[in-house]
Amino acid sequence: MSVLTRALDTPELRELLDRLSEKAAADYYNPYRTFDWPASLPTDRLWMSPDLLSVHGTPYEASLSEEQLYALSRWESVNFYSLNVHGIRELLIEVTRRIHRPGFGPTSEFFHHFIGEENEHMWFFARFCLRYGGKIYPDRSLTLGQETGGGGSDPAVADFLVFARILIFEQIVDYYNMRMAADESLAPTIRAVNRVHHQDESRHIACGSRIVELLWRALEESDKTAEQLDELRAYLKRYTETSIENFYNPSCYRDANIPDGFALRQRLLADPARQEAHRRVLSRTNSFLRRTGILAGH
Amino acid sequence: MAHPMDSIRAWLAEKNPGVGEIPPDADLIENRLIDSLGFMEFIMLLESVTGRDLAVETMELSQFRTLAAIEKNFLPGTPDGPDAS
Ligand SMILES: [Fe+2]
Ligand SMILES: [Fe+2]
Repeated sequence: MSVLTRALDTPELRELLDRLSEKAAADYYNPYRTFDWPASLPTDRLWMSPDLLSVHGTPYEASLSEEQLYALSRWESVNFYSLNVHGIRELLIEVTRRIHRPGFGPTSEFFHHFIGEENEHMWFFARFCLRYGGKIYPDRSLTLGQETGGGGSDPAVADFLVFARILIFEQIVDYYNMRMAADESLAPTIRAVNRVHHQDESRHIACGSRIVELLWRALEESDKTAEQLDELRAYLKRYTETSIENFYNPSCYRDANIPDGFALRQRLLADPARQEAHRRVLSRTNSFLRRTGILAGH
Repeated sequence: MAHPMDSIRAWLAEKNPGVGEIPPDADLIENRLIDSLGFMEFIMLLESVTGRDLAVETMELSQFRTLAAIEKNFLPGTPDGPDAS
């Protein structure tokens, strides 16, 4: 057993996971019967809250007609749920690999709930994309086999990065979910999907925050050098930025009949209003990473 | 109009300041000129210069490994290429 996985055997984590597993069992629902799936959703209104659109707050937003904004909101919502489908598939693979691995005993029971729920999330997100967008936007990532964080094949580094990535991904998604669940101008199906996902995710995020913090403490107390820890910090910082940048998908601009999607993406990413929007989306993630010392606090 | 490979070289230069001229057969992945986090934007760029979607999930890493491979696999016959139309 690695030094890392002993890290998860704390009375406090066990107590939290017992509580979350209990709650998962009590709140269990049949996702296949939970939602209304009308044949189509109205195209004369937004499918995503206006402040979540990638053009929001920029001069470019003002140049689009109402119809173009509606179209963009449709494709950017399909992009959002597509990112969920791909993100969930990857996290399911990683959590499934670890579920009964030595050292993950304290988390196994909760991981069963997690895996079950994520499979269901992937189902309703994929269903949304296919039913209302006719497609899932393809995943552009490829495993390059490069090592990260100076850890080589060190399982302690790999475990930490897996759970840190899952947590960051879930926190970003949750920002969008909470906003859309509360947005009364959106269609009931859209609000319901976002509300139900947010409810499950609040358990995943509570558990994930503790796991990531404990795994990071174990790395700090291990023989990792300051440079190796800094490499992990730099990686996570870039992971966070890249995750946000995935919301600027040139394919969405093309599908909304907006030309030169790649150039538009670059222009929007450089816009100060978007930097400010990113700070809002990431505020919970950044304060967690700073509080735990995973990112330097400035 | 700039050759599509120029856009790719410009993107690589922007992501890797100070790297200088990249030889056509240099391994972009081994040399970390593209890493897993940068790869997605790289594909967006490649889709933009080729004007078509790439089904990355069905592709092999070797297709992207060098500038020469990228030109051969994705941009044959572009403006100053051999079979320009
Ligand atoms: Fe989920
Ligand atoms: Fe989750």
